[in-house]
Amino acid sequence: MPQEAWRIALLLAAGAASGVIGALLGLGGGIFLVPALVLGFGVPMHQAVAASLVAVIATSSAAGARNAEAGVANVRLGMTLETATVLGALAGALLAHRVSNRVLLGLFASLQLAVSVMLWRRRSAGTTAGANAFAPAVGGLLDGSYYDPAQGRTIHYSVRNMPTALSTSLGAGLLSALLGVGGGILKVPVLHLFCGVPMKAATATSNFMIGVTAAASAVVYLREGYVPALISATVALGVVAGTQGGLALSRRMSESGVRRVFAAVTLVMACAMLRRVIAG
Amino acid sequence: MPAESEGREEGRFAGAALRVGVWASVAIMAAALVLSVLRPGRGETLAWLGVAVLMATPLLRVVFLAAAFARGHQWRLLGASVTVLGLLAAGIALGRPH
Repeated sequence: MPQEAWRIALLLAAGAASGVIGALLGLGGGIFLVPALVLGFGVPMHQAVAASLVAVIATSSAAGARNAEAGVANVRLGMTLETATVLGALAGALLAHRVSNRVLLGLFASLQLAVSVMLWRRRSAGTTAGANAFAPAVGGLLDGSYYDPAQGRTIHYSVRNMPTALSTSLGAGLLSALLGVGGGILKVPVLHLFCGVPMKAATATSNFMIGVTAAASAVVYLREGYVPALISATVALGVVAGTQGGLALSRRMSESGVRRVFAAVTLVMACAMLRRVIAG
Repeated sequence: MPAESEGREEGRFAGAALRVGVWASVAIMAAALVLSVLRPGRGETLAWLGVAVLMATPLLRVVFLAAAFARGHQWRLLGASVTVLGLLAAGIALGRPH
């Protein structure tokens, strides 16, 4: 097989593996894809972030279509919070070219360490309601409802604490643009714990928003010449396929065992990224 | 609480836009990969097109949602959609070309 075909096959496999892991753990693939591109394929950090953003758009859009049609994603809440995530993403993308490769690597490694600890310690999120979830609906424009097959009933909820949701979304947009991740790691817990959005709706709404957030920063990276087209297209295809496989697999596997294995994998990857920071 | 039928219609609008965009870009990107394997170095333009269609997909979704909000006279939500579109346009204008 010619060298180009091997490289494409390996990139496709890296994207697929990131998609499977992301779907199994309920994370975007970016946290695994960026280090795979940097450490495994020698892609410079800014290009790896840009390629990961393209993959994030693909997975978010595929999942977002399903969740929006099923009514699990709160489209109105998502659209409102997108004003903040997109603003954060633009700021992050414009800032990124002023930040050195080394600083970005260091920031990414710090995020990996935080994710690793979170994966190790997190109890199963299940469908536990946030503090205000399932409260009687008060007639707000952003209130939502969806049918939960696990509980066999329609869940109604009121959205509260919008200033917190908006400021967190701004931070999530910034993080997404700088590091090529979705930013759900910030938004989902805040929407769930402080804004009264049930976990399923919080995850689906965050996922629905991520595509627009990533697109806002990806166009800036594109204008600045950081988007490697063929690498981005290859990993995006791999991630989309991997996510579908991962979702099918997750129905048959226990989450807690998988979580601890990948907490360890993320820690090892964080150490490898930190080594690169120290080596310069 | 928004009328359930209104929320469902907005979800269908958004879902349709995302589905069309994702599958169109996946088809183009898959063709780019096949071309790159068969004729190394020739799939780059098609890959660019696939990436561009994918990047335009969330934008299309915001446009579709804006139309759904306008139909339902949801002016505040329409305002949020137009703000997001304006910010996305600013992103295209603000990046420094290499």
